[in-house]
Amino acid sequence: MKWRYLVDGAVGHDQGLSVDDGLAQSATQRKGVTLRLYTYRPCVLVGRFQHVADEVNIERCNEMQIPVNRRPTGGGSIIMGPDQLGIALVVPHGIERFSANSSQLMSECAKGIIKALQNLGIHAEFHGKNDLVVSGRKIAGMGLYHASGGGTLFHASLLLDIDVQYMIEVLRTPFEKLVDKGFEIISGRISSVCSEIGSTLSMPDLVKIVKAGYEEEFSTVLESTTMDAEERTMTEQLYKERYSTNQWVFEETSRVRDSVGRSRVHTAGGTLDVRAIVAGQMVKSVFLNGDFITSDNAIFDLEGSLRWHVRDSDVVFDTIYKSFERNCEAWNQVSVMDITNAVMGAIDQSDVGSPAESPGTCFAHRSVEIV
Amino acid sequence: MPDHSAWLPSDRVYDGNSYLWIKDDLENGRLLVGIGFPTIESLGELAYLTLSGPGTQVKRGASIGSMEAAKMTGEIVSPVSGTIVERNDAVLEDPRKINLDPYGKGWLLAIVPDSWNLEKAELHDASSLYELLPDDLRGPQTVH
Repeated sequence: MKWRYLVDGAVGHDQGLSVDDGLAQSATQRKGVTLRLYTYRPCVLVGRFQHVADEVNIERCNEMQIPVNRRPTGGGSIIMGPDQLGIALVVPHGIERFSANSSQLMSECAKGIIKALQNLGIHAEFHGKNDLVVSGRKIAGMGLYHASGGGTLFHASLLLDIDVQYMIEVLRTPFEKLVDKGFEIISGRISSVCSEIGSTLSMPDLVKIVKAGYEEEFSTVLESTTMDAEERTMTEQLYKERYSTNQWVFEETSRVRDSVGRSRVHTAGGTLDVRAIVAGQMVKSVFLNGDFITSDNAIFDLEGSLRWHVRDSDVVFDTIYKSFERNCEAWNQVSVMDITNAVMGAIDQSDVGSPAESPGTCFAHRSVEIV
Repeated sequence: MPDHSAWLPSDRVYDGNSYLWIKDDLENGRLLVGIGFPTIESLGELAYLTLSGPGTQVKRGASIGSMEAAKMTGEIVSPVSGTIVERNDAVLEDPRKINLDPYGKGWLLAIVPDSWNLEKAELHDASSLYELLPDDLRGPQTVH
């Protein structure tokens, strides 16, 4: 079966989000699957339940005339612009291969991107809650949104390139005051298509490659189209009532507020500096830094295992123990109890931390203590 | 025969799209609405939740809230038309209560229905919903 294909360039933040949501709200089995590939004019997009003041350097955004909006999908804050490809895959209920309520839907939707990257010689894999990574470095962030209209929207931001310095300026991170170190830390956690292939690639070429990746992976043909009347009406309504309003962007979204906890544990193998980002009874992320010696893989595995994890200490210990077992040779004189104490210390400390403290961005969570 | 009574209790009915459950509390003139295990299996752990408040008039198929869980965000779609008369604020403070006790303390809203007799016909009992579920949302299989 053919899929519908929409392509856009340099859209406004409110228009871009309205179209994606409008397509999802209007999705029907008759229309089938729709893929939209597009870029935004520079903007910041926060996740569905994030608090803008916690995530975004509003003052700097105003100075630079960078608008802020809120995605319907979850996850962290991101910058979008000419070097970040927006991917929206809209799946109506009842489409074969995509069971809209399947627990595996996110990884299924990501397969077109993985295929496209593979065709560029880049081996990307699904990791954690919603990341696409290359050798442990994030190259795309993803999210799923189930619209009341019945369609499911898969959102992804694929980095053709990224200006880390600009990202540090507009998103709230601890690196505002530690520019050099912050640049180094963030750069070590993210990647881009250009850095992976070691040369430049134009956005139009990346669009063609991603389109071909979806066609190949799903044995389909993408047929260029435009929105129908129902989709246009829904998009206009969403623009007017949601994405162009301050209420949507700056509203108090949930009674559960993110908080950040830190702990520092001295071990025979060095000091563990741990930061935990906690939302109520859920641990959203844990990040390890310090002067201990281990492999990048061991840290990557541990941090990934603890993403979006229940905070019960027994379960946290079990997860750490399993990660430690997988990488025990890499943890030099650091015991599983050292790690558990440091992680649980940070989680517990989040209860007394300030909720307004920045919980971190989509691409680079805060991972060092500012002294 | 697989026994799925713990996964889908037979004392309530279910929406065939969202898998939300609706329990008859008509002695008190209302219905209780909540999220069941198949939806939880699909969503993962819940972290954030919003719900419409008491007094809100809702239509079957319209949004009554939103949530972010491990695997997706989404709108919570009302399985019945009527007026919300009570909201379970405990799950707004701690959405994980839904994961821990979806058919008990994790209920979402109490709704006084407008047209229950008509809409009930569009809902499913536990057995017929079970047949609709994808394999990965059918939960642990207990064979008698």
